[in-house]
This record gives sequence, structure tokens and C-alpha cells, in this order.
Amino acid sequence: MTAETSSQEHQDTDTADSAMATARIHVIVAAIFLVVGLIAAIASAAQLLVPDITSGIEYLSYGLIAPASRVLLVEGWALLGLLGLSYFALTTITGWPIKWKILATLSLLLVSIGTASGSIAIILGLSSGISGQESPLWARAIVALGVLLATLSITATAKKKRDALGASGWYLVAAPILLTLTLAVGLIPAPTGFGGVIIGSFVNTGMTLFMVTASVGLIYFVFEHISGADRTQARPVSALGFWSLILIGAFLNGASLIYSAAPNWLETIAVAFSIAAFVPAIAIASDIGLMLKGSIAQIGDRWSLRYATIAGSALAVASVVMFLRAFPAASSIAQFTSWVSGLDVLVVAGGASFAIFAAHKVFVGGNRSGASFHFAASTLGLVLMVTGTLAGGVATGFSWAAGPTSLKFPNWGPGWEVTANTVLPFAWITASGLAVFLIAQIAFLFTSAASGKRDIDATAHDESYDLEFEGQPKYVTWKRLVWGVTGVWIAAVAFTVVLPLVDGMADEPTILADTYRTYDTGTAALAGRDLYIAQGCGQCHTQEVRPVAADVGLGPVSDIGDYANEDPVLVGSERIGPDLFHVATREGFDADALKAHLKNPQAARPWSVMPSYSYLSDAQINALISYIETLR
Amino acid sequence: MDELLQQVAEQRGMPASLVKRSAQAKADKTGTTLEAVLHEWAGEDSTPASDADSPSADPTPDSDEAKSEGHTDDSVAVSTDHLVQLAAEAKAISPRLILTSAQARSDHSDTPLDDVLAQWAGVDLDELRSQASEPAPVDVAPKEKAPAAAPAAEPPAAAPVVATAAAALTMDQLLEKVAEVKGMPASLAKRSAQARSKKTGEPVEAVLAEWAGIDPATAPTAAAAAAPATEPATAPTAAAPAAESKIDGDGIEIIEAKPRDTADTSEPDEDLAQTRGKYPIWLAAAFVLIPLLAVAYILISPNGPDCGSGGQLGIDAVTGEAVNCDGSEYGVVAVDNLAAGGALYQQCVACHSDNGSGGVGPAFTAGAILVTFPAGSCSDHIAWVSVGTGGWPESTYGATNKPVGGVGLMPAFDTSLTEEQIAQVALYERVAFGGQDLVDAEADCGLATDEDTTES
Repeated sequence: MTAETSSQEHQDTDTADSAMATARIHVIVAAIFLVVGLIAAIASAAQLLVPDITSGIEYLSYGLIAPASRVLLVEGWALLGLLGLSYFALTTITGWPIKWKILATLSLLLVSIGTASGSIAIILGLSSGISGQESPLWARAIVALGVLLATLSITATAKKKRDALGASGWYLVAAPILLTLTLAVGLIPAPTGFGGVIIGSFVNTGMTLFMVTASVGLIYFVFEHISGADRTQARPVSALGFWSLILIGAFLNGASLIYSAAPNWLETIAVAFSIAAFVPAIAIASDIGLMLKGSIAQIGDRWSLRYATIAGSALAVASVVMFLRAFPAASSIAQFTSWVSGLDVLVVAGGASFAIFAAHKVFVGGNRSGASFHFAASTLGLVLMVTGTLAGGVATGFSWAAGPTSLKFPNWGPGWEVTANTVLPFAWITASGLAVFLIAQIAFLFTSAASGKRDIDATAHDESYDLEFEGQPKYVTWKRLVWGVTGVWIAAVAFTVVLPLVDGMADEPTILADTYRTYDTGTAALAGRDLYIAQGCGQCHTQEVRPVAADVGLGPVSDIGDYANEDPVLVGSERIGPDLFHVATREGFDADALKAHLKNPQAARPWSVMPSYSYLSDAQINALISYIETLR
Repeated sequence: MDELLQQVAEQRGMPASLVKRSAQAKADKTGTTLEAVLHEWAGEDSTPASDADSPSADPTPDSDEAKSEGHTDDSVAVSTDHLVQLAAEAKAISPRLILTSAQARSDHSDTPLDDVLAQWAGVDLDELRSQASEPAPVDVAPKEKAPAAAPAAEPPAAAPVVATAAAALTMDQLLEKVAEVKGMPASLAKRSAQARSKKTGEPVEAVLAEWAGIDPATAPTAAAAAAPATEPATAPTAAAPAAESKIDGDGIEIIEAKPRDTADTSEPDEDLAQTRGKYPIWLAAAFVLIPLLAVAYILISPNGPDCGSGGQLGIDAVTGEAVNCDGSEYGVVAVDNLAAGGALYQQCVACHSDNGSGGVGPAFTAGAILVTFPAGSCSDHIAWVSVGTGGWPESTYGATNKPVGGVGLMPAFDTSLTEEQIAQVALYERVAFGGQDLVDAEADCGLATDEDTTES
């Protein structure tokens, strides 16, 4: 008997240590991706400020580095960091070890390989062309498999507590489930035409939803832990916050497609749900407030408190930005501006990063030197980035709207100079924010010793909370959690992906599409289009004319049938350069001038931030010109 | 030895001489040495050479059984509570948690509770048991010492004190029982019982008794009898008056262990329980209003915003370009030339009167203006107004060859008005007074509105 109990204790210690080890290795790998990704992001941001920096160097052009940095930061840093600390949080909550730990390790391996190889592939010109999903299909498949394994392990671990997880557990379980299902959708070959854009947008939205959900879960965990709040206390508003976030967040596809060629009813749904998205924001914020009521001053771990507060604030601002992005009046100004990157910054650098920082602080415990510098510098970097992107986006948008309205300049050609000059100071702010953020992380890695006594006693399996008793309603049972999340997601796919696809497939290709935009195999135009995708031209140029003031003068409004023969559709997501949908029919369009422009953009337009493509061979340039000439 | 005595004396808060005397008595009774007893009382691990004839004890008392029966068997020499104390100290966790965790562990691994506790306390259960025959300090004494001493917990002894003590004991003891039976912390049990009692109207004690599996009617007495035996934590409150000493059946004064202050002093958080129901109503209203707004949006614009709202523009059916909602080209500011001309005409009223009927200058009305400057010759009209009498190169003007410098002088307006403004006045005169068609007149006077002015 004695031997048994002592071996049980020994196993408990092993349990605690192995959970810690898994979490630790995830965080270390994630941190590596963070640093590399930030360096790449700064390299790309610098090119928008001083284009001569990388003039003519093949693998460093903006169109290659920028998407690679995004893959590194989202799939490497945010995904691995959130998953790794989910393991830690769930083992602490349940008091049980990681179930199927081999899957957790395997998942780390797969996600790391997929992310690293995907970003390298992008730089080598193997981009997929889908906005936000630039990683090639095989790399995304590897990552998706890794996420699936992580989901299995996380779900099995959490299942030990079943109905008694508490708010943090709900979010941490729901997040990977959502992500696995979403990434699976992203692997399905899209039909030719605009449907691919709808699917891609759904995957991007799902990725954002994952990061928000997992971040909220970690924030809850941190607050619960540092305040000693009773995790089992069932507050109705916490369940409201959870279910509303899942229900509403899943239906936000289309929020980035306002004024696009997508069906109008889809855009309406997205706007309505973006309005409703304030419900989970308010519910979660007030729930955490209730939980901490009266006990904030007594919380000992001030650093975790601060990190978690910044994370929560960033997510709250993100909900406002998401609403504005969707709301047509604001969208007509802010769409395609750096407002889009602003949302990414808030969710990834604000919500996910600071949630990871907070949970990591709980994870290592103790007092760490350098915490104050890291916090201050990271927060400063975040604020600068957010200001630069959001304020810059608004300024740019108003400038675009002003041009055609005042008849002073169109939004292309020499008229683009106004936009370039408007964006420049904000681009400096954003880049400096990135630099400060990077310095904070590097400094932290150097000064942090993994010292400090952990103040978690993972050996106390307190099973007393598992039993039902009077006065504690179960709002989120295990069954409801898993099947509810899956059910909501299936409904979301049905309504916001399948239905619009079916609707759009009824549209015939337009004359424009059939005449010019068919890219038959072997043609120079197809080769040029492949080059357009490989070089990441879509990172700066969109191909969509909207019925809004800012797009007047760009040509006829894009119809869904115009894209019917293209795969992938190159709508793009941000206009750092002018729209190209009808570029070949603009006044003064000339193939030779275009050739010169590609080789040395700053010659004719000194204010241009376009990189030089002089490293392309003549044949490649000619192919590219052939493609652009189809954009009538 | 002296050090040890001092230590125990300090721990128990009694004079060293008393300690020594009691320890000696115990040692004699159990056949161990004085040092061993003192060691034990000082809380260190002891390795007594114990061969004591312990009163026949059930070697593995089931603490559940013991507690629920309300008896602590004489023969259970080492009480569970004692083990709980030791384990709580060893793990630095409150006894309440230790107990429930140990209970869970014992269920889970099928080991007796005492073994689990002993394991955690780091003591050897067998050894402890073998010294066990003497009354463990908090354990056996009062029940059998009915006549002899004045144990406060003895029901006959101090009725009022005991009555209240029994009641107080009952509640806490009930809580402990419920906590054990249900496997939950006592504070949660109390909270839930309060909730239930509020709902059903029964007293909290009855609820607790029901959960603990005790017949409520007998609960108080059974509890009182058993209370001291099982409630080290609450014994101080109940047995305070006479906690210091008891006399056992052999007349040896037994120094009660001054209960260590490991009482569960953490009150269930009443405040937290209260706030659970209190969510600010105005904030809760938001959860209703916001979805309503969302639904309203869907109902108002089911297929995106209408033209003109939210920045939405119309789409020209022919060219496919974005245009104003009325079909006109976007960005071209539609100037109302006629109105502008009318406003400018005020300068002409002095000579030509405001209805164009003339005065010093010729009349325009009844088509007269179009006789002088017929349709198609608006440029002449504009030229005449521009240079006036002084600048006209010829001696006559207009289609009817009116003589220059007739009745009055036509001033030149090219210095005070722009070409466009002069054209607008001419337009006004021709349309308002001459009756020419507006569109024709605009074209005639060079004010056509479909000029492409978006050149950059």
C-alpha cells in the first residue's frame, strides 16, 4: 500500500514535469518563430520606407518577405505558443497529465515543419496566390495535420474534467477544434472563380477566431489562477460570453468581402454578425470583471495581471475594428488600406502574444528580472504598430475618397503619389513599433533564465469539484461543448461558404472573362500570371473595382463573372500600389513604359515604394507584360 | 531532555513540570520511555520500542464508519483526525483539503484512508498504532470519563454551554460529514445547503443532516456525543472551558493537547455567493439590444446598403462604371448655369430692367434677344457683352445690324466677369427672356455639362 501511494506521487511529479516540458518546448520553438518572423516583418516594412534598401535582390522583395513573415508569426509564433500554453493550462486545471502526449510532440514537429517549409517556399516563389493563405498546399496540409493531432491530445486531456472545466477550459478546448475544422476546409481545392476567394476568406476568419478564442481562454486561465477565483462558480454571463463568441465569430466570413463581387446577402450577414460581435466582447469583459471583483489589489502576480489586461484590451479594440471593417460606410473608406494589417496586429501581436506572455509568466512563476522592460517595450511596440496601421489606414482611405470626389487626382498613375505621401509617416510609425517589439523579445530571450519556483501544485488532483450539487447549474457540459462547437461550425460553413459558392456558380463568365481572362496552358499570359503569383504582386496590388467613391476612375465595377475563368482569383487584400483590374485600358498604358517601370519604378515615379524587378530575366518580364495586357 | 520539555511546554502552553508529570504517567502506562513520549508530543517522528498492550483495536478503522456511527472506538488508537493534522502539516495544506483529497485518493486507489494520510504525513502507521493504547489527546477521553472529570463536552456537565456547544458542533461536524460523504469542500457544502434551505424552507442543519445521511432528529444528540471525538478543529470552541486537562479512568491527569490552530477559518465566501446573481441590469440590456440591432440591419438592408447609403454608388448599365445614384457621372460637379446667370443678371437690371423689358438698354423679352442674336450666335452675344460699345470693332452688331452706340453705351464686362460667367448671363437672357431651349442654349453658349473634366 505504501509503495502504491508513493508511486502514485512519483507519477504525479512526473505528470507535472512532463506537462511542463511539453509546454516549455512549444514556447521555445514558438519564440524562435517569433524572432525570425519579426525580423522578416521589419525587413518588409523597411522596403516600404526606403525601397532602395533591397533594390533588385531577388529573395528579399516585399512580395516574398511579407507573406513569409505573416506565416511565421501566425502559424509559428501564435499557433504554437497558444497550443503549448493550452497544454499547460489544461493540465493545471484538470490535474491530470497530457493524454496521448506523443501526439502533442508530433503535432509540434509537424506544425514547425509545415510553417518553416511554407515560409521558405513562399520566398522561393511557390506561393499559392490566395490572400492570407500564401503557404503552398502541401505545407498547409502538414500544419493542418499537426493541429489535428494537437486537438486530439488537448481534447482528451480536458475530457478528464468533463463538465467541470470552468470558463478557461471551454475556450481552450473549443479553439483547436475550430481551427482543425477550418484548416481542413482550406485544403479543399477551390472551384475556379470567385468561390476560391470566399473559401480563403473563411479560412482567414477562422484563423482569427482561433487566435481570439485561445487567447481568451489563456486570459481566463491567468486571471483565475492569479486571483484564486473559484473556477467552478458558474456565472451565467461566462457561458453567455463563450457561446456568443463561438456562434457569432463563426459567421463573420464576408466581413472582408464588403463591396466585393461576393453576393450582397453574404455581406449583409457579415455586417449583422459584426454588430452582434459586441455581445461576446462585453460579456467576456464584464465576466472577468465580476470574477476579479474586489480582489485586484490582492493579486500578487502583477506582471501576469498586466500582460493579461493588455491582451484583453487589444482584443476589445479588435472587436471594434472588426465591426468598422464590416460596416459599409466605414469599409468604403478603410478597406484595402493598412487597416487590414491593423486588425492582424491587434489579434496577433496584441491578443495572442500578450496572452502567451501572461500565461508564460504564470508558467515559469517566480520573479524574473527583465519583466518590466519586456512588458514596457512590448506594449510600446504594440501601441505604435496599432497607431501606425489604423491611423494610416484611415488617412489613406480618406485620401482615396477625396481624389475622385474633388477631381484632383485619380487613384492610379501619377495620382497615386498623394496616397504614397499620405501613408509614409504612418509606415514609419508602424515600422518603429515592429522594431521596438522585436527588441523587447530579443532582450527577453537573453535575460530570461528559466528560474523561479513554480507556484502551481500540479499534484493536487482535486476531484471534489467534479460532483454536481445544488445551486451550480452546468451551462457548458462536455457534450454541449464539443458537439455545440462542431455544430455551429458546420452551420457556418453551410451558410457562409457553401451557399455563396452555389449562388455564385450560377453566374456565367462575362464577355471580359471569356475574351481576355482565360489563361490557356502554354500561353505567355499564363506564364506571366504564374510569375505574378510567385513574385507576390498581389501583396500590394488588388484586382477589384468597387462601387465606391475611392474606386471611381479605375474602370467598370468588378462583376463576379469577370473572375469565372481564373484560379486562383487574385483579388488581393491591401492596396500599397494601385488597383490593376483594368490597368491595360487606362490612358497612357504602354508596354515599354511598364517594362521600364518594372525594372526601375523610381525612375518615372520617385515617390514609388515598388521594389525593382530587374532580377527577372527578359523572358520573364515579357511574360509578365503579356499577363498584364490581359487586364483590360 | 530539558530542551524537549521546554519545546513541548511551549507548544502546549502549559508549565514544563506538568508536561513532565503527564509524560511520565503516559510513559509508565504504555511502557515507553519518557523521552519517546515527549518526542511524540513534540511532533517528531518517533521510534518507540512499543510493545504496549494496546487495547484491542481494530487495526484498520474505517474512518467513515467511525464517524458516521458517531463513535470513536476505544480501540482506534490513532485517530484519523490526528493523521489529518500530521498530513496537513507535512503538506502545508489545510486539513479540509487534505481530507477530501485523501478520501478521493483512497477511493481511487482502493487504499484505506488512514494509510493514505499516513503516507502523506510521512509517518509509519503501524508504529503509531502500536503506541496507541493511551487515550490520544483529543480522542477518547470525554466519552468514558462521564462521572470523573469535567470534560466540557460531556452533556450532563455543563448543560447550557454544551447545548450551545452541541449546536455549534453539530453544524460544523455536519459540514465535515457532508464534505466527506459528498467529497466536496465544506465551504461549498455550506453554501449549497444554504441555497437549498432557502429554496425549500427547511433549516440548514436539516439539509446538511440529510446529505450526511444522519437522521435529523437524532443528529444533535448523536453529534454531541461524538463531537469531541471527531472534531479536533472545532473542539476549541466547544471544549474551551476545560480543554486543559482531563482525568482518565485511572486518575491520571491527562493533559489535553492544546489543539493546534488548524481550524478551518476560511469562511465560505458569502460575498461571492451573493454577487453571483447580481449582474448590472443596464449591461444585461446590451445583450438584448445589440442582437436586435443586428436583426434590424438585416431587415433594413437585406442585400447590402442601397445606393447612396454607406458609400454605395450606382453602376452604369452600359459602361459598368460607378456612377451617382441618379445616373450622372460621379465627381463632376453639376453647375446650375441658369441660376448662376440669373444671379449675375442683377448687374444688368439698371438698364435692361429685371424682367428684361428694357429701359435705357434694349428689351430682351418676347424673343427680342433672339432676334438680335439668333440661336447659334451665342458667341456673338457673349462677345458683345464682353467688349461692349467701346470695344466693338464694327459699327453695327447682331443679326439685325443694330448700330453701335445708339441710345446708350453698353459697358464691357470682360474685366469684371469671367468668360464662363458672361456665358451664364447670356444663357439666362436667352432662356428666360428669349425662350430658347435650355439644353440648346447651353450647347450654344459653350456650357455643355458632359465635358470630361476628370483629366489630371
